[in-house]
Amino acid sequence: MRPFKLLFRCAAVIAICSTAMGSAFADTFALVNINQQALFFNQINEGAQKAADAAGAKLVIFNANNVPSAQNDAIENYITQKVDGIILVAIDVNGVKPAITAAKAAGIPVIAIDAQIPDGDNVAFIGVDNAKAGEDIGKFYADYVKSEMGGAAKIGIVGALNSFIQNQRLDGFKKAVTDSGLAITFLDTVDGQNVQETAMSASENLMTANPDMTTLYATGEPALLGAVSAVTSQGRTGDVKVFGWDLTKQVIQGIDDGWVVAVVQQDPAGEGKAAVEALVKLKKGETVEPIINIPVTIVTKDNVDKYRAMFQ
Amino acid sequence: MSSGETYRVRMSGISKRYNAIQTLDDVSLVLRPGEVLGLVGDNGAGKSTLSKVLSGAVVPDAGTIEIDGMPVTFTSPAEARAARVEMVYQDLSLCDTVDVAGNLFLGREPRRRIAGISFLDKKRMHEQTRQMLDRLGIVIADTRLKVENLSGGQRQSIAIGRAASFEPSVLIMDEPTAALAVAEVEAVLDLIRAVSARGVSVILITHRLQDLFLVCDRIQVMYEGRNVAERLIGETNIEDVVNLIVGRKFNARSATSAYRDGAPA
Amino acid sequence: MSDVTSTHSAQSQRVRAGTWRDAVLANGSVVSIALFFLVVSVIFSVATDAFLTSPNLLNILRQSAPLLIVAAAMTFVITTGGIDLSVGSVLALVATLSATLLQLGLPWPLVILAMLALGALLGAVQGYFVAYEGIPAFIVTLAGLSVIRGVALLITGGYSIPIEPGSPFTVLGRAWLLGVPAPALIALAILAIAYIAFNETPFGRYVTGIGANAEAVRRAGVNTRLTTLFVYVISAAAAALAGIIIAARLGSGSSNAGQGFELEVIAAVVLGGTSLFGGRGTIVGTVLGALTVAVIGNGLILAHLSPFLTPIVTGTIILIAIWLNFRLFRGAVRSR
Repeated sequence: MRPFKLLFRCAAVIAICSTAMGSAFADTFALVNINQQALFFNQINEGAQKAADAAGAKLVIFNANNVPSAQNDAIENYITQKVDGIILVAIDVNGVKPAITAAKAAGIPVIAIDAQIPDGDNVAFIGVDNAKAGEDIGKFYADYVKSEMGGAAKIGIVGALNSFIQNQRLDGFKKAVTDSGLAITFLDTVDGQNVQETAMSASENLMTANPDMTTLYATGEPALLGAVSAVTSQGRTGDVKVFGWDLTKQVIQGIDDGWVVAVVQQDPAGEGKAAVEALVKLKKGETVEPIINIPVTIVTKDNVDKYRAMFQ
Repeated sequence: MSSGETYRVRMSGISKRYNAIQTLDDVSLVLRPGEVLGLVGDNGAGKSTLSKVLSGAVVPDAGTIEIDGMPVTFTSPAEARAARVEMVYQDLSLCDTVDVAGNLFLGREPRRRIAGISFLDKKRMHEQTRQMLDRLGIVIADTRLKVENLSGGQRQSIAIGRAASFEPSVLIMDEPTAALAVAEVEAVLDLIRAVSARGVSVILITHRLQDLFLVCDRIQVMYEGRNVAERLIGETNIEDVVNLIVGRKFNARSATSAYRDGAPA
Repeated sequence: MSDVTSTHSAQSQRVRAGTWRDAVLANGSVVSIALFFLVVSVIFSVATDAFLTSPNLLNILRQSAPLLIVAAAMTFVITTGGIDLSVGSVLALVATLSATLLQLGLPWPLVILAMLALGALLGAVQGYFVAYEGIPAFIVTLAGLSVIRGVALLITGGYSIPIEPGSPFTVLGRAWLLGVPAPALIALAILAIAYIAFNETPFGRYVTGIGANAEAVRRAGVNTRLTTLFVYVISAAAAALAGIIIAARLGSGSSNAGQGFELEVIAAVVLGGTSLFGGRGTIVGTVLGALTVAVIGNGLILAHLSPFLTPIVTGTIILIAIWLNFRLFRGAVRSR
């Protein structure tokens, strides 16, 4: 994978050189993101950009293309550029720590979004408490099983094992379900690797392996989209109820048809906005809370309408 | 053309200079139809360059080439091939992982068209290969054998057979018997005789002087870019040839009487 | 194999023995992967109830259709001694672009044709740099991998693009014909074409020849550059077809589709016995290799294996398969 690394390093340098020009007059904030594939990250970018425009600050965005070390390189380069603050959506929450410490030493505040840095030197964390939100959807799920399915269910899970936060969502979910004391059996967990078609094949195999499965939980957008396609292709919309994270058009269709029951919807734009606002505050000498939680919404048939516009 | 005889090949006044080195200096060469000419000389004598001039791979600075009495100029191997001058390069003409028939017919496979699409006519290809091998006396049991599984001599035979199948008028071979087992050398020399018996003129470049006396009609010796001697095979012996090659009277130990017996009477 | 009789009896005895050995060696890699595929299938059939059922087998076929299609095309590329790392990116670009064009209201047959043409064009550009400019295929297609996925990102802005569920386009991914899923039928047709092209046409012969000795093929008067360019056209067009099928199945075009797909494809091709050094390729082997990869992915889930162990077991199984191939049929996988 070395050539890839090199390629992305070059890209990092070019991106930083070209975007950090002319930053002498306004405050310049840097946003180090994970990739440009997921709608989620782009909405962070959008929210942050809007907030920066409103505050009259300049925002430079770096896309690490899922390469953890590229994030370290980018942060180090931004330190050299003496930006006024860094917003980080970390891939490897431990591996990126030295770069955050270096930024702190240089007097540049780092705000982590979405993924908290354990014992990190970042000034604040903004995001969804994934474990907590996982518990929320877990509780919702348990209540649904209790009221609609006679208190018993078998559940299969489509995850993304390479994603720390998606694992947290799974752990929180499991905890709440176990705490409910209902007769819910956890079947297999399959790995969709955060890629749609991989998640789809894995979901199909999951259903083949467990013909008695009655419910399914997907921990992220590609996992849920793949799972929804798989349930349709296997003709299981009648006997499998789906729960998960992150809306898409197909998922909304499933909610309308009644077999997608509940989906956690985050507010990534709100996270990006809050991060920029926090940096602006810090720049003025004010203080910010070390943990800023942006609330999630559990979308069901009842409140899905207001999200439709996003996916037209 | 003043001699009145029409030669298959007539090269005269060929010169080629690479920077400071005069590789070929006013060299001439004649070749009669069906004749086997041994071209010998020490390393750097210019025999390979001369053969490359004839096969179009090297463009000479000066000199003329006539083929069957017609003046020609070759600026590429393709032009030489068009004039039916073929050169056998073993390493450059065989695909190891393709079978014997596929190699012999590479680039001109028998085809049959079905619905406008060309398919290989494998049956015809193998039949024609069998005929071709039998005609030249090349012994290979199965035309579906991959060339990589053949012996060095068999590979060389396939390379020569392939070149011969283009019906050339001149066939140039550069060290065809190097690194072959003794029995295989015999087979390749048999093949050269078979080819020349079909009217093909052959230029044989070799360091194995004893081979010359088995197949050649005539020997041309080169020394430092010039031709120094020409001998009919019946008028010379191996000691004479060695002395011509090294350019002085030399009591060659490699050309003692034991070797002389190898020369045909 | 040896139906040819020869009058040179003494010598042909020796050569004949070699012929038999050659037959085993030549097909050894195919025999090896076939045996391995059988063993893996039998193990999963015994270990799980669901594996050997027709819905599951059809699932495997449908899931592996993109892999089969691209692996068959990749066999041509690798047999010339090249490689195409860009297939996953081409797949992603086609998946996103076809969803975009459908949203713009273009008729679906036109979208399919345009996407196949786009794939062929991307292949032609990369093939040009490989064949005519002499840049190593690894570098050209590595750049292609980055650029083409970058274009997909640029077009979509990172959003995954939905396809109307009612669109006839989705039929390609979801329909059933004669009790078989449409993607599997498409894959079967492509495999048949690939087999015939590889084994029965001058083109297939030159592909093998170029991998073995490009200079010999060139001297035989074949336009080796055009032939080399064309194998990249084939692989990119196949990747485009796979992208269409995936978008049709998911009802969504995502720019992260096909990530790591190129490695899966190369693994399937090499597992089937095609040499990475070129000159030796087999479509039958590739089919078995791709099915082995697909069956392992399917079977391990059916066997309720922990997802954390799946990559470890998958990699180990693939290494064992290659190792067996190498030990049992030494010479089949060796470099030239």
